[in-house]
Amino acid sequence: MPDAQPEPSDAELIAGWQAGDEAAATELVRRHARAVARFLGAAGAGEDVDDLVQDAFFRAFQNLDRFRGTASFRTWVLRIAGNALTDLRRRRGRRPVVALDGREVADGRFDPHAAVVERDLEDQLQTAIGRLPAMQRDVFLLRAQQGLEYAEIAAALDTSVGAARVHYHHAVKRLKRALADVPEGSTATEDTR
Amino acid sequence: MNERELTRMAQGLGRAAADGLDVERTAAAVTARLRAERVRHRPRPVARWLALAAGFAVLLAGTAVTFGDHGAVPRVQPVALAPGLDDLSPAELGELLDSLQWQAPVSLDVGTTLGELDGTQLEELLALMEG
Repeated sequence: MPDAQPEPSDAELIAGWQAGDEAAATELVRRHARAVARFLGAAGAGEDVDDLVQDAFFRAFQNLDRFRGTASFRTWVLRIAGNALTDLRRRRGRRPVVALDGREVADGRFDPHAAVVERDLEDQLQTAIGRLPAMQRDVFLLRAQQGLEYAEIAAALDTSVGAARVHYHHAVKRLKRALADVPEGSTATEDTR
Repeated sequence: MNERELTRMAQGLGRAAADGLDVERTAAAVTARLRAERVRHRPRPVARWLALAAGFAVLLAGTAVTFGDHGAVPRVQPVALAPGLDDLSPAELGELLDSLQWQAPVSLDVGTTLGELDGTQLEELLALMEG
């Protein structure tokens, strides 16, 4: 039985695209598009998510010569997506673009009341994240949602590790303030879901 | 709400956006845009009429130099219109014309400039060049 072909790395796919292999670009989009959509959805991109995901990948491929590899390709595209969202808001005159996820109603295994409260909190959090300054928003989401280390966040956002920590700290402070009415422990925990 | 709860909730945000994304359609749209952009920046092929005009100018210049009165200054100076051909010496241009087996039209005076040709002469020359 022949050995299964190992998955090409992102770096190999990038090299493939640069050599003219369109399928390599397609594979990179397949790999990372959902993560980018999740990032944008959390940032309040709402119905613009699809267009922004496309824009982010298009801009990324157009500017691959600027990709230095200090952060992963995904992180780099996430940063471009954050910039694309910021640009969009600027073009729209800073009108809030916060649109809430169209989440499904919790299924019957959960306490319906708790599920509604949880959704309401998530909506409040999403709105608050959408109102953060772009840098704080991006640092917070890259750290809290994407689980990145400060070093990679700093590399992706062209800032220092210390500055990234400060942005995260400020973001958390603002978000806590925005959700100040919510008592600690009021949200469902992983093991109760 | 403490930071841990905040982080846990943030991890759950954007799920609907991710689930709702048509990845294949997105990938196709991105590659289509990239393809279009590549085409847009590709050097355009020289239009047939432009190639014809360039060749026309070179032939005229060659005619003047090759068939003109070698004792006098040619009335038409070779003009750099065809890349790569403007460096050729009069002798080389003559060889080029010979290799093309091109004969000056009977009605065309040797050394005539483009601006001096009448409509019939232009058509005659273009017909010769187009074969």
